[in-house]
Amino acid sequence: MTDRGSYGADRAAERERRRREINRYFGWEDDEPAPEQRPAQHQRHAQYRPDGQVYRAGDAHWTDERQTGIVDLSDYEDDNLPRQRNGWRRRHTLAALGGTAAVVAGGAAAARNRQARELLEEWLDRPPSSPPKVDAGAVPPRNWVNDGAPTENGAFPDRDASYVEATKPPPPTGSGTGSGTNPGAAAGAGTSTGAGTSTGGGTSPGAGTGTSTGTAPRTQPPVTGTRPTPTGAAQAAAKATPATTLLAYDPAVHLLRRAAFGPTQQDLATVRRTGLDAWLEQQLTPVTIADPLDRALATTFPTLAMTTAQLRATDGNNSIDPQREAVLAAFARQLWSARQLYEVVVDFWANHLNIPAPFEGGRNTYTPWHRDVIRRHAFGKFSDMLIASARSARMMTYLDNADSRKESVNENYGRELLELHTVGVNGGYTESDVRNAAYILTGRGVKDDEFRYEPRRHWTGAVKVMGFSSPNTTAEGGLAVGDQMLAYLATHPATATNIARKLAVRFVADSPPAELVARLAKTYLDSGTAIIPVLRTLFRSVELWSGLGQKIRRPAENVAASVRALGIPAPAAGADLRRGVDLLYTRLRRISAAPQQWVPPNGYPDVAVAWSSTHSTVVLWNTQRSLARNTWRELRATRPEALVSAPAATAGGYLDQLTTRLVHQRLAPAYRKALLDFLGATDTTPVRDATLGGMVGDLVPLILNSPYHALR
Amino acid sequence: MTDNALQSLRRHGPSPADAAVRLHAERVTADLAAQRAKWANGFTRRTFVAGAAGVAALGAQLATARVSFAAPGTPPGGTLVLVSLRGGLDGLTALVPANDPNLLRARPDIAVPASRLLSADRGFGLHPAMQPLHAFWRSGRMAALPAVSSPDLSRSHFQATDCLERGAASTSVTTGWLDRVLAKMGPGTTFRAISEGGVLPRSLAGPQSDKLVLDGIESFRLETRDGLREKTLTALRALHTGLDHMLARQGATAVTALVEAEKIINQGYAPAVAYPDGAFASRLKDIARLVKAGVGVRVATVEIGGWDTHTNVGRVDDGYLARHLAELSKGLAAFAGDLGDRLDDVTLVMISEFGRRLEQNGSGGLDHGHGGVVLLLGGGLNGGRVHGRWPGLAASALDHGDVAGANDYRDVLAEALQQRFGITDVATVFPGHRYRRLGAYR
Repeated sequence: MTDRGSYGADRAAERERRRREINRYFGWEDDEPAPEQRPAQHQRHAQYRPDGQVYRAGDAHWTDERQTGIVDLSDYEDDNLPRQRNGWRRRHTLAALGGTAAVVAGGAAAARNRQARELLEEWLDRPPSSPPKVDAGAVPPRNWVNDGAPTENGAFPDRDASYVEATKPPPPTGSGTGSGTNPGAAAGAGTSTGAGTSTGGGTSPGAGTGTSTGTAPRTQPPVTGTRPTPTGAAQAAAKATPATTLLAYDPAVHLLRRAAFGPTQQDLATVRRTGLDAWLEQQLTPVTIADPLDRALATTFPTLAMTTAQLRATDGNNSIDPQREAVLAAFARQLWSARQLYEVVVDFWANHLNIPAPFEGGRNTYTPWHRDVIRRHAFGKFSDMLIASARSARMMTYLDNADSRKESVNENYGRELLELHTVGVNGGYTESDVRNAAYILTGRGVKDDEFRYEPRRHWTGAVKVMGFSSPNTTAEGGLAVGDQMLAYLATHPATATNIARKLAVRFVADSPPAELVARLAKTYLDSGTAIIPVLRTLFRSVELWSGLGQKIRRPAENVAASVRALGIPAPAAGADLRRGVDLLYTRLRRISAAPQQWVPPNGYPDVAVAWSSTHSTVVLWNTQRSLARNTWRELRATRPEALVSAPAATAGGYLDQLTTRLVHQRLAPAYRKALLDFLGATDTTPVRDATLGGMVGDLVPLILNSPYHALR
Repeated sequence: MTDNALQSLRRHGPSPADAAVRLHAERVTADLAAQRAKWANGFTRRTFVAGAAGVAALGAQLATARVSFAAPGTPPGGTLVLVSLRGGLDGLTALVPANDPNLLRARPDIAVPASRLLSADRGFGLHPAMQPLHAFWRSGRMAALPAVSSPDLSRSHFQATDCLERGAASTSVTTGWLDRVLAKMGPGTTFRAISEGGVLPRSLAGPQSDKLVLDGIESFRLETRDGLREKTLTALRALHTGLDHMLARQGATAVTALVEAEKIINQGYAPAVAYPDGAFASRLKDIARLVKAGVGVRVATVEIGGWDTHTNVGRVDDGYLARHLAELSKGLAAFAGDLGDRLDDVTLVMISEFGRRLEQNGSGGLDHGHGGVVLLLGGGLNGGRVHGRWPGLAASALDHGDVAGANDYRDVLAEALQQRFGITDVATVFPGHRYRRLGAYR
C-alpha cells in the first residue's frame, strides 16, 4: 500500500489511515470517524469527559511551605467526596506536568489551531513518496542524527522521525502494531531535521515509508543485524559510516553510556581490561557482582526490607517515610551500584509500569511494589512481573482496581494494562477488550494495605480479551482466569513489539530502526518473555553500537552521570548517604525530574524533544557545578586539579586531558577554543600547575555543562 | 564607558543597566523579525510542524522567537498577576455577609461577628485581618466577588484545580488558560511569563515557549565564583553554538535568560515599602521588582497554600484563618504599596479552587465547599465594590449545603482580559464558555 503505483487506488484509505494515526497519536477527538470502527482511544476520550478528574504533578502546589520537599498528598485527601477518581487522563495529565511534559502536550494543543490543521490536511493528501517542501536555507544541514542528516548507508533511514520508526511498511490491516507511517514521524519532521531530511533523499514522514520500502527495495544496509558477540557488533559499527554526532566513537565508553548510568574511571578500566563481552556477561549475572552498597542502603534506609505489615506498624511515625526511602535508595543504586546494567533495567521497568512515589496512598505499599515486583523480576520474565504487578496492593490502588467490583466496574486498570503495560496503544484492542479485561480483574482488591482477592466482588460470565477467552464461571476461579489473561497478554506479539520498541528507545535511539525492534520482539517471544536474552540480542545488534550520540541524558541520568564522571564515591552509610542522595533528589524535584516523580502511568518520556526547558537547564547546570566544585560535604568529587594525574605542559594539552577524563574525547576545535578563551590561554600557553592558577575548578563544570556530557 | 555613551544609554532607560536591558531586547526583536521574515518564505514545513507536532523540538526553536519585546499591536494592559490560594479559601470568612442569620446559625463558633468587619459594600464586610488592604479598597484599587465557581468544579482539590487552571470543563482542553492568554498577547521578553515558587502551575502549561519558573530572581543565576560569571556565560554560549540540536538551542536560550536576569540582579532592589517575612511576600516582592524594572512581565503567577482548613478555623482575633488572612493581606498590601503608581498597570486576581462548606464541622473547621470569593487588586477596577450575584445562604439557595456558584470564575477572568488587556476574543481563552460581563472592571 505504500507502493507509489497503488497510491491512487488506495488514496482514500491511506488518507484515512494517516488521519486516524495522527488523532490517535495526539489523543485528539476523531472529528470524522471512520464508519466501521473507531479506535479505542477516541471512545475513551468521550467516556472520560463527564467525570474528568486529573491529578497533577504540581501537587506541590498545596505545600507552599514545603516547596522542595516531599509532598504527602494524604493531607489533601478529598475527604468530602466518595473516591471518584476514575482513570488517568494521561494525555491531559501530561499537560499538567509543567516544563517538559507541557511542551509535549503543547504540541498537540497547538495543532488544533486552524492553520496547523490545514497543513496537516496538506500532508494527508501528499502522495507517500513525494518529497516535502523544504526550505533548505532555513536550517543548515547538520551532522546530528535525530536532528539532521541520515548517514549515507542508511543505518537509520528514519532517524529524522523523532518519535517512531517509520521505515516498515504498515501491516495490511489498519490496526498495525506501531510500525508504518506514524504521526510521530510528523513530530520528527518538525525538528530541525527538515534540512537533514532533504539530504536524505527527501523522505517526508509519510514518504519515508515509500522510499525505504517501496518499489525499489534497498539492499540490506551493512550496519544492521546481529553479530555473534557484542564486540563483533561494536566492530561492525566502527567500520560502517558512524552516526554523525559530536561524540567520538569508543565502544567501551559507549557501552557505559548505555548499559550504565555513565562511565566511572573504574568501570571504564574494567571494561578495557576484560573486554566488552566479559563485562556485559558479568553484568547480566548480577548475583556474581559483590555490591557493598547493599549493606550501606540497608543500614541507611531501614524500611527497605520491611513487609507491608511491618511498614504498617510504623504508620503514624511521621519521621519515617518509607516511600521516600525507597526512591532515594533506588536513586543511590543508579549512582553507585556495581550492578549498573541491572539498575538501568530496573529503571526501565519502573517507568514501564510507572507508579509515582511518594504518592497518596502509597506509604505502606510502594516499598514492596518496587522490591518484590520491579526489582525481583527486572532480569526475569516479563510475564512473571506482569502477574506479580496484578497482585500488588500498590498497583491495585494506583489504578483504582481496588474500587472495581462486579456491580460497578472500574476500567482504569484494565485499560492501562492494555494500552501501556502490554500490547500498547496501537496493539489492536477494542473497547470491548478493555471492558472484558476490567471484568476479569474485578475481585483483585486491597485489605489492610495487602493485596486480596475477594471472590464476591468478581464478575462472572464468559469473557474475551483479544485472543483470550474464558467461560469465567466461578467467582473463586477469577484470580486464575486473570493470571491466564495476563500470561496471554505478556506473550502477545503486540506486547513483544511494544516492549522491544521501548527497550530500543531506551538503549539505542529516539527513533530506533524497525528491523531492530522486530529482532528484539522475536527474541522476546522465543525466550518466553525472558528479558536477558533480549538484552543479549540488543547488545549484539550493530544498531546499538552505531547509535552513538543518538540519545540525550534525561535530567536524573545526567546528574547520575555527573556524579560518576567526577568520581564521587557513595557517602558513608547513615546520615551522610541519606543526605547526599537527598540533596540531588531535591534538586531534581525542583524541575519535576526526580526518580518516580512522574505521576501518570506511562513513565517518563524517553526522547530528547520531551526534555526542553530553560529552567531545568539552569538547575541542571548548577547541580553539576555544585558537584564539580565540591559544594556539599557528603558528595566529595575528585579535586579538579587531581582529575588528571600528569598534566601536560601546555594549556591545550591539559584541556584535552581533562575533557578526555570527563567526556572521553578531545573537543571540536571551536569548543576547545571557547574553553581556552575562558582560561585566557592559547593552545601553547605553558601550564605551571595543575590548578591552572585556580581556574581548573571553574573549567571542569563547563565541560560537564556542555553537550558532550548531555549526549549519550 | 564614555560620557557620550552613557548619555545615549540614558535616553533608553532610567538607569544605564535598565537601558542596557532594553537595548538588548530591541536587538533581539530585530533579529527575530528578520528570522521570522525568513521563515515566512515558503516555509511550509516548519510551520506545519509548529502546529502539528512541533512537540518540543519546535518549542525549543521558537523559544528565542518569543524572547523579544512585544511586537506592535499586541494588547496593552500591563501585568496580569494571578495569586492562587491553594487548598480552598473560605469565602465566607474573607468577605462576610454581615449578620446573615444562616451564617450565624451554621457557624456558631467561628462566624465573624458583624461588629468586627471592615466596611465593604452591599452588606458585606471584610475580615478585620484584611485591614492592611482596606486602604486600597477605599481608594478603589480593590474589589471582590462572592459565590464564584463553575458547575464544572467539583469539591476535589485535584479536579477543581485542574479544571480551574485549564479554564474549561472539557478535558479535551489540555493547555492552561494563561498559556492561551500568552498566545493572545503575542511575543514578549524572556520575562513575559514568570512563575514564582519553583514549579510551573497548570494554568501556564502549554505550547507557548518557556515560561520562567523562578524561586526568586536572585536565585536564577549561574553558580560561579565571583568575577567569573560573565566569562562562564560566554563560554557556555560558545559551547552551545554551531550545533543544530535541541540541546544547543535550549542552552543558548538559558544563557540569554541568565544574562538578562544578571542585569536585573545587579541593579539591586530597594522596595518602596518594607515587606513582611515569609515566602509569599518575598515572591510578591520579586514580581514587583520585575514589574518596576520594566522588563516586559505580562503574566506572573504566585501561590500561597494553607487554606485547607478542615480543623480549627479559629476565632476572629487569633484563629488560624485570621492569622493566615493577615499574612496574605500584609504581603499584598506591601506589594501594592511598593508598586505605588505602577499598581495601576497591574491586574491582580486572587482565586481559590473552591469555597468551603457553610456549616462548620465537628472539629471547628470547614470542609470542602463550592462557591468562593475572588479578590481583585490593581488598576481599572470599579473599585471599593462587591460585584456579581449573591444568591444568599438560605437553604434553598445552597448547592449541596454550600454557597452556590452564582458567578462563573471565567467571567471574572475574561472581563479582566477584555477590559484590561484588550483581548476581545475571550472565547478562545475559555472555550465552551459563554461570556457574561460582571462589571468589576471599567
